[in-house]
Amino acid sequence: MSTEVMEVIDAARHLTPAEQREVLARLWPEANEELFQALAAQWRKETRHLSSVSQMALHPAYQRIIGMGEAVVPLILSDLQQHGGHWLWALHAITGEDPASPEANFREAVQSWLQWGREKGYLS
Amino acid sequence: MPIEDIEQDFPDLETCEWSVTSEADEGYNCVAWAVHDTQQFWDPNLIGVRGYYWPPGVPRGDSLNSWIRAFEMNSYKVCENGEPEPGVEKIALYVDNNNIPQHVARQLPDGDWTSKLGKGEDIKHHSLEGLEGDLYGKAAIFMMRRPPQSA
Repeated sequence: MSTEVMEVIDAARHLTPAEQREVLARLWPEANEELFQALAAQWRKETRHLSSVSQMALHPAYQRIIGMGEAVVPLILSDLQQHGGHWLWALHAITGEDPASPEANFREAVQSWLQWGREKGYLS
Repeated sequence: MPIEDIEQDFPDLETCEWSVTSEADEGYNCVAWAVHDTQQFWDPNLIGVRGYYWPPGVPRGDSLNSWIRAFEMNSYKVCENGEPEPGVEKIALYVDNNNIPQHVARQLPDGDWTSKLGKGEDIKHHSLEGLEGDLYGKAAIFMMRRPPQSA
């Protein structure tokens, strides 16, 4: 194990698990993205014909993505922009925000989140 | 979504005639399609995030009673079976082993059925049994109404 990695591990000992995940995501974003893509692909495949938002969002892969925390928000937004998907619960759960209007349908809510992502600098 | 994905999730479709009748569209689901709505994704939205629709006044829940009530608000009433009857539009609710609704199909004027497969395509299928199985359970509850004039 490299000196750099050991120093990071040592410095992160006092952090909460969520904070540790954030640090790892920032230091090794490629690994974070690989994990997200794998989980997202699994989630899409295993929920492709479900109609229930609860069932989609409670899928283990979706829950693991939420557990990746704020570092995964840009990845979710990019995936939403490119492929669509019922990511709204994950975004809401991670960020605590909901930029869609109360009367918005799903397509409108997606556009609101993408606009939110651009305003926050997550999307170009 | 490739046809192979549909055949993989619904192996019993090989026992009946069926065809894809739309492109995939995640903006609406089977509950919406059952009432001819392609603009909303109907869901009890227990999560509370915006973007989903549930009829006002209907209890929010994934229970069979909630779904039945949602369709009653759209002029449906429970009936005995899915046999086609002149001048009547029927739907069939699929439930799993715990009696939780998983899917709803709407009957077409020719007696076949149309289903929106979650976030995917609409399909036309000759029998309800074609979609029965691990994912959707069994077609167990039937409801009927006079079809709306705008449908």
